Amino acid sequence: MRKHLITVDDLSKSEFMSILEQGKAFKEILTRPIKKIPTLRGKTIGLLFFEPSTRTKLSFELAAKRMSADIVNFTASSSSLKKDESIKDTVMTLDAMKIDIYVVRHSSPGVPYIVADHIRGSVINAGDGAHSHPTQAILDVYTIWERFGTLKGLNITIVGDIKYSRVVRSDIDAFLKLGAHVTICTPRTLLPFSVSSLGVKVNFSVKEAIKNADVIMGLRMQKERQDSGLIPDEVEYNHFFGLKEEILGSLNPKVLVMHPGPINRGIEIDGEVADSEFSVINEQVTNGLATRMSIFYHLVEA
Amino acid sequence: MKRYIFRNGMVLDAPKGFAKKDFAVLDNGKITFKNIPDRGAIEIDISGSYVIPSLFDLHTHIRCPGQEYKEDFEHVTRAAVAGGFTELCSMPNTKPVADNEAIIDYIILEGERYGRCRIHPFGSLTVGLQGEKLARMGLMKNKGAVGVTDDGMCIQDTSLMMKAMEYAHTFGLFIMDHAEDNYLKKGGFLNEGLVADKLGLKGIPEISETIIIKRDIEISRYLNIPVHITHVSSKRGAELIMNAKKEGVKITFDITPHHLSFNEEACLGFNTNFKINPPLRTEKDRKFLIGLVREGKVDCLATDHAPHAKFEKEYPFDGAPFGVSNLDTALSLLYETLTIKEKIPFEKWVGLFGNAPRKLLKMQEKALKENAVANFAVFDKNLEWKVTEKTLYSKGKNTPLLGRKLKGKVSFTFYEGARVYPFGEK
Ligand SMILES: [Zn+2]
Repeated sequence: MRKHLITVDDLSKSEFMSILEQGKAFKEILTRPIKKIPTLRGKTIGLLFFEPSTRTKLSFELAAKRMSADIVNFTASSSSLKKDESIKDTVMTLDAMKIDIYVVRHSSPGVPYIVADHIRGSVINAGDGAHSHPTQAILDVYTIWERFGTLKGLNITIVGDIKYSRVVRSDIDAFLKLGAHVTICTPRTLLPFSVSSLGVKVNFSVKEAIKNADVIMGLRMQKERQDSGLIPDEVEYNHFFGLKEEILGSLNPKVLVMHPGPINRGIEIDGEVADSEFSVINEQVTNGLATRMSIFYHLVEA
Repeated sequence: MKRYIFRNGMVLDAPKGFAKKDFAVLDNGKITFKNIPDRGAIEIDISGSYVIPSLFDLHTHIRCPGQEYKEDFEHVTRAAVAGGFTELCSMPNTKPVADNEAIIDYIILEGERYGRCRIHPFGSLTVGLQGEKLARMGLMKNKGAVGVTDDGMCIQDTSLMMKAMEYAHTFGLFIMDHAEDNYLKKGGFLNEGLVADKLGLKGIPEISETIIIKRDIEISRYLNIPVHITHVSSKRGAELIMNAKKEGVKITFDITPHHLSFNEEACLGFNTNFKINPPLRTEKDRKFLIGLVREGKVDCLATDHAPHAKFEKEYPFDGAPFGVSNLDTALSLLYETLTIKEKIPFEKWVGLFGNAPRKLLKMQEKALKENAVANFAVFDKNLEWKVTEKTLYSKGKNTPLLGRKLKGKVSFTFYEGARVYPFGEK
């Protein structure tokens, strides 16, 4: 049966665990002198990036290459494609080329579903607007799971710009699915409306929110937030919601500091924290590669 | 510090009311009823006077920094303690606007320099009171801002008001709104109605207040964030708030001495000292607001002390600025209005100018208890005085009471253990 990965909900808990386990094996391969394996030989992966992205695209591309897949690139900025222009026509053209897996990024929520409806292969959502970003959640879960062996009972605190973050939405879904306790910390103007039904705790003080945390995740402050008047300015934001150097003294040695990148030093995270011994921000990049290989593997196997 | 013994005063022992008691203020600035010293103290007979916890004003335009020609720290703190107030909440419409932590810090420190009373600054909700961009409310709170408001520059953009309230709530800041629709108020000078028509001046309709009260009720309900409406002037506005309270909306409000004491007819002689915003409404509105005080339904009182230079109030009615200088006279005027004329016992309402606003702001209440630090005022209910430019300590002489005699006046004010009024050697 054809399988897609559009939201975290597309995965059962056992599938999730299986992606993590397999990811570990792929990560090991990435440490070998020859990092290429033949798993996807003869398969074609289409990278459909309607929205500019350097890091995510690079990660998918390299994952596909490490597995010997052929790659087709379709890059168009969302601005050149009007919202009402048919995604369908674009996608059907590509489908005629017999692509096995489509990796889709778009600024409009729901586009991966439109793609899935008109192609014969599988779709991986590489981020659709503020809706979902499941591969980021998987790599985040992997990073925590690799260190702690489980997510069950862990306290995970997410600090930052939450309201329109596809990363947070997917992360929260994944963390809760795997039994973690989640606390979010952000000004109330950046809280999603439905926060009370998300199953997370809210705390407006970073100091309190991270008190018993095993994992602290910072989020990128998007410039648009300030422009749309949801916060006064970066100085005040950093003061109250930045992961500041002062927190380092209060952390227990096992705490992980994560961030999906790219980081704004001095805004949501101070350099001293991003570069501290607690930080696994660079490790997340490696884990992104390993887990994306594992995701390709699972979709092809299915 | 000197020791004082006050004999035969009626001391407020809330909620029980007044009781005749002697008490002393000792060298350490604390009150005692039990250990009154037998010598080495100044003894004062205050028969016929009430002793009340010192007053607190939620709404003071201190005008400084920036408009020292209207009012300054020296004068505003003198007017405050002469009127029985030891705590003032300053409004952010200073120059520059109190929209950042540096101005908040300045106001607090400057206020402390005079040592007479405490100034609790309000910060603005938006930068420059421009209604466009959120101000640094968190950093202002860290420096001591107790609340936020754009006061006379009521935010018109509902979406921005919601964001501002949500942002303020993040830091637990008290949110106060001066309810006014700019489009409806535009070009008006006094209450829309008979008097305005008679005088040939454009009116400010009641609905300019009520429509924003209604909006704020809906926002407060929707976001579940408390909001305080300051200087409610109309019956309809107060009714909307009463009904919202019944439905569980976290809304509170205050009324000013002038809205309780005067109605629109006061403007008939074109006296610019009655030009106030929101305007004096009709007698029906005034009577309704008094009824609310009588029934104990008002959350607190506030002066909206708005001093102006003499020359500004000498402009024609349509050119003069809005506002009344109030700190010196607030308590005396209300004593006349509420207790002498309306027969509402003093103890029933005086707390609305003291611990009621302290409670709203979650501050320490003041009490006349054994061993409490002295923060009280003595109000001599029989002392007659004439309001003149000389008897007012505020720099702003813009009060309609000029030339009037009032019965009842503060004769002593103590702040943090020290006598701050009458002035002179402590
Ligand atoms: Zn006002």
